[in-house]
Amino acid sequence: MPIPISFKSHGPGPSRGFTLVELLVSFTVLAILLIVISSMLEHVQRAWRQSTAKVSSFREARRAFDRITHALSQAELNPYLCYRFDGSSNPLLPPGKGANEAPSGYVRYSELQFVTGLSSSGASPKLTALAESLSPGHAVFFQAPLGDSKDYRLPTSLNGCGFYIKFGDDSALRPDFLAALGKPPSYRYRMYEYRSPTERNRVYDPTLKTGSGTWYGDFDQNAPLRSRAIANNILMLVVSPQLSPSDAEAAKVAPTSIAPAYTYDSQYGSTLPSRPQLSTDYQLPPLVMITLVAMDEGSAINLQLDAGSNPPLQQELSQSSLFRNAARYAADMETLTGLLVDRKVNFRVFTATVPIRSSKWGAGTGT
Amino acid sequence: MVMMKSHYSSRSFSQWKPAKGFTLIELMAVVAVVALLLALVMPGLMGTLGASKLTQAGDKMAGFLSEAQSRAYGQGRPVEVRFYRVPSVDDVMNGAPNGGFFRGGLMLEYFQPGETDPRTGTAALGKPLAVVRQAMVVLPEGTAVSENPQMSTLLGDATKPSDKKGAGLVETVMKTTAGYSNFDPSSEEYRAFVLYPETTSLDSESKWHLAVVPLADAARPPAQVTNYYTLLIDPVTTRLSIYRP
Repeated sequence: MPIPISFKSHGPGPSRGFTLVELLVSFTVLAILLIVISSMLEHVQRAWRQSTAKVSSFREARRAFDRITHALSQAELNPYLCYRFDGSSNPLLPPGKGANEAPSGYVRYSELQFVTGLSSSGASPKLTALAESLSPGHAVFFQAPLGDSKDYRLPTSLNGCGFYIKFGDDSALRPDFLAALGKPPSYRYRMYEYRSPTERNRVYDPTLKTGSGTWYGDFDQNAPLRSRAIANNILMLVVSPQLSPSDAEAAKVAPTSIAPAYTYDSQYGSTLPSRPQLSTDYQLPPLVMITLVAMDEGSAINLQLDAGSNPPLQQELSQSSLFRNAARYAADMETLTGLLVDRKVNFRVFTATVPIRSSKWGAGTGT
Repeated sequence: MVMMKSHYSSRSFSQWKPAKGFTLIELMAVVAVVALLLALVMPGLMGTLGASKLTQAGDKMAGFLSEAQSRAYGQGRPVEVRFYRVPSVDDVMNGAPNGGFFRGGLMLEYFQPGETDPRTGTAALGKPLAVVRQAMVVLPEGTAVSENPQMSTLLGDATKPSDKKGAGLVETVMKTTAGYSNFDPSSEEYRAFVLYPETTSLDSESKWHLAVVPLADAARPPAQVTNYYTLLIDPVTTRLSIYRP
């Protein structure tokens, strides 16, 4: 017979030990309490994680935005005046003997280039030429004296520079060991910064003048890497070259009249056309308005659940023909934000008008 | 005898006699149930605790690096980031080399010749000077930077100072509350790279990262690592990205 253990107090009175049933009930209650508390904790933790993710992803977008505006304000063209020879096949060179060798006037010229427009544009001007679903919005490429060079220590040597959005996976960006661990890559819209170091800057390459090649044609190159992601989850980049308000008022035109379709190319192919020079030829725009639409990581994760490795929000970003007419900027912006709100995307819009320091805006030479 | 009395009273249970406690068997059953429940919950709980410790450690390292970045950007001068070995009691059990795992982070601000000497505030510097402004940032117990070259490329040979007495090349001083004193590093071995205001000293054609891992994983190859908090630094744009499982 088992020896019973009693917790009964010695004196007379009603107290006795707990029965097994009572004990089990109390444990059940305790377990339920624990479950409730732990689920509450989890909730709080998730909310905390979401809010910090939101703050940090917009912090990254802000940083990228600052990088864009900082680099763009240093865009350089170094235009100069040279003779124009109308009788020659190349108006910059005197024609052969026997022809009229007298120059017909001056022309403004520069080997450097500032070009912007729809990123998917494949010709006149050619930008990234990626599918619009992969690269929504605009792209901009320019030269700036940023002094980025591996071989030389020249603080103001010229670099090719550019910004565009590209959708894709991060396997080229993330640490290599993650692939070995089988971690799936994350598919995101990313803001890329193209930067060609001085020794690789091909803007003076004469072979590029004849073909359809561009000095930024290596933007998608992986080894060595030319473009670096500077922020995740950037949905839209709008680059709008503009006149200063006073210039626009004096000329009685809209500030966006220098790039009504957001397209601005300081060069126009290999040869000078025989028309008089326009004010946009071989000149930097005085102001550039930059708009960036960024979403938070939480929204991006939700979208990846649905879209997988396909670009999400295609309908919203590229099929609705947004940002093709500079006069409709405000309406397009409203459309886009409306569409994003409908898709329950948490987003933020960054915008600023950047003056380009070395832009010396003036009329054309008139020749 | 009390025992006997209670025993007998348990016989008359139906009569509301107040004396029955529980038997040893019952008690053991309850203890067994509790133990079983605990055993079920503990691994999850420990995992959560360990993960939060790793998060804490990773956030500390991320905070350290982004502070170095903002210092370089804000002051407009190069900031050298150094990683030192900091020993811990459990290191040897987990395969740490001499001196322990890499755990400490230290930043040095570089003053160029011609700049005002921070020590005197007036005279211009004749040669470069490195200033340590704050104590070493050390990862919490139970975590370390992975020693594996695949996990932490930043600790690889590429960033090892060529001279073991690298600290001796540039005069290094430490700012304390009492003023400036000579910097005397705890160990001569460290790994380092330099953050410039806009870029870094790292080779732009490689990927540079650092994995903060639980102590037990610090010497293991990637396939055996249970958890990680990887910080990747873009060598050109200085962007910091975090990768977790």
